[in-house]
Amino acid sequence: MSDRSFNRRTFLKTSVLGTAGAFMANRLVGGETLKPVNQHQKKGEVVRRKLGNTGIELPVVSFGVMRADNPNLIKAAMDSGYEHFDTAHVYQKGNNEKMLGEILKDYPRDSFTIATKVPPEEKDRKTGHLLSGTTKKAFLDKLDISLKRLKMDHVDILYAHGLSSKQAVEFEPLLDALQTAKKQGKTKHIGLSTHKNEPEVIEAAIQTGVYEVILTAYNFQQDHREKMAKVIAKASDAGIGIVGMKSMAGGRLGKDSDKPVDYLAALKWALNDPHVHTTIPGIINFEQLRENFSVMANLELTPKEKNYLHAAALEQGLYCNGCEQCTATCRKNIPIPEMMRAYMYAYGYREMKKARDVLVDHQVEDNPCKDCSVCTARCIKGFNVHDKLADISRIVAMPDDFLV
Amino acid sequence: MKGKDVFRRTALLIAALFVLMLQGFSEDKKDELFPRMEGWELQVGDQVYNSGNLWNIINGAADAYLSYDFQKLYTAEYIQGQDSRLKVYIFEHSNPTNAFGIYSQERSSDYTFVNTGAHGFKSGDAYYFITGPYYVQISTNDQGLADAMDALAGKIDQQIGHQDELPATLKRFPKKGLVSNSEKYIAANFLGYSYMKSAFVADYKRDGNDFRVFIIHPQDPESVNSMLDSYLEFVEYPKPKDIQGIFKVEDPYNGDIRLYKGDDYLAGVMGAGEELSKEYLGLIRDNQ
Repeated sequence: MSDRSFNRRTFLKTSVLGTAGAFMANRLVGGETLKPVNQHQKKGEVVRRKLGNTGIELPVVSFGVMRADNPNLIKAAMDSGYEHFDTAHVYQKGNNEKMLGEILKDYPRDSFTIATKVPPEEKDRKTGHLLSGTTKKAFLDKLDISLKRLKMDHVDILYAHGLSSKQAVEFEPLLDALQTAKKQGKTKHIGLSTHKNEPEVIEAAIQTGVYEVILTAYNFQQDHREKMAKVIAKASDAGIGIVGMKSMAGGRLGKDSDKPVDYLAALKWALNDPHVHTTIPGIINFEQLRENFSVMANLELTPKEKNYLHAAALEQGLYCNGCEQCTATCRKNIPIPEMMRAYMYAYGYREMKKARDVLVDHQVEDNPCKDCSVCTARCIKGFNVHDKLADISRIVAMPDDFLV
Repeated sequence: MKGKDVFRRTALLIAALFVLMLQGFSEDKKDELFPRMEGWELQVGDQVYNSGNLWNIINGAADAYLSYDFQKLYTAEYIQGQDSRLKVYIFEHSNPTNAFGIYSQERSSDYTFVNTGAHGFKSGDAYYFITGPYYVQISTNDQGLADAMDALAGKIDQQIGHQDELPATLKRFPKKGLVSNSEKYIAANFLGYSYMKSAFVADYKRDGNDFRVFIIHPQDPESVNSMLDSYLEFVEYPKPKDIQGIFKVEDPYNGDIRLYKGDDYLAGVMGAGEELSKEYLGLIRDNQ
């Protein structure tokens, strides 16, 4: 993102400011009122998609509010053509919802689409199963708190936050809570969000016939992206709205790499799947707010972006995505994802001390597999887990002067 | 040759002992952060979370923590009987300023503030405080355990090594009209511009005026100039050779801002008139 190319004129010219009334005329935080600014681009120039069978139609890029701490960023987004804002009960311990509520109260309720996420109360982190502490009452109480913070009587989409197993998707008290919220008019549509075991979760959501929108991690660095594309298409064909998140895959090329992700290429990659109806990149500055408009207007990957994505795919070989599916298949409960991270430090970046620190932190012993004659651990990327563990664990006992 | 061998072996032995010591220290750290509490069973979480897997435990809230240079998350549960549970998360950031930063994003005037650590607040089912680079969060689903949470917070504070210093820049904010507990540290993208980096901000109420004051005080004083250059170019301010005194810029997204550039800092007032702005920028200058 070039600072040089960004000034007040270019932002105002390139913003998609859809309607005639979309002016920068609202009161800003700090108390002053700015003069209206004429806008140039028409609504028809934005790529819009229907969000499943919800009846909602949105620009393909929406606003993930999770890291936005400047209320004026939300105002500029509202005034420049963004329509959909995504927050959650837990972001900044509720301050994120409060900030949104404070700004959006000045706009007509039908001029934006708002989604929030409420987490189930109790979950087994290893299995992703919801536990008895997840009750209908606890969930609905949290929703009421969220609505109060948002200064609204309803949201447009209510997600169950962070589901990662079929059991959780089908958990009766949760389904009851979501459906009750809809019956009570506290949400127009219900859905779930997922960023772990997504294919299993999405498949289960299709089967229940209850969820109307799915917010899912989907990016070019996922090892199971082909599987994801298939299950997303299936959900979309079933009339479920699909919202993409984590398009930037953490912002780095590979989990621990220093190479930044090409923001526009990554966003376009997700949106080139027509079953992804909109995305919610976390927007943190005005430059990004502006850049997103170029994606909204044109989803075609440039030759440079195509080359970047191709090269990035080739680099994936060394990276463990931390899906943790292997841990359940290891008889000795070895922290395999962490060891793979150490492997990447050692063999990818030649940072031997950093690699050993990771192993030491996780109490890995030299040759942790020595008691197993056959390795049962399975990796969805096809890593030879046994060989890699044997290689990297040697570093634990290695003296410092070998690690320089 | 023999002497060299002995020297080599001794060096290797010392190195190996160092590795073991390192291993012990890191292992201990996880266990040493959590004190024992009489009548409660302590279960320290096996997994120490890092920047690569923080999403697995706090979902999308992780993004904000990562922007404050999160390092590690240690977890534990204190259990009494069948149902009484206190869940503890200790977030370790790279330095106390970043710990204050994420804490300041999450605190709210609705809470009751406490003197634990450098600063803290609590509600019926949660107790949060910062001490040094650590941000400690205790929660429960039983509001009847408030006293136990208080006691545990005090013990953890002592266990970690109580540190009550807040970032020094906060002392430069004038006290007059300061909205209590409104100070924040923004780690990056201040005002919504990527080149503006980090800033401390505080809200004020004075004679019916609501306004905000900020101080950008980077470790590298030279970066103040580059930030200011980029900003003035953006707001199309006709920059003279050397900026002196207080000057006003018209920011299209953040309103009118009055700025003062000191030797190694930049201060600003948003949402106040000229006289009030001058007064506060003068107070900041005098608070050096």
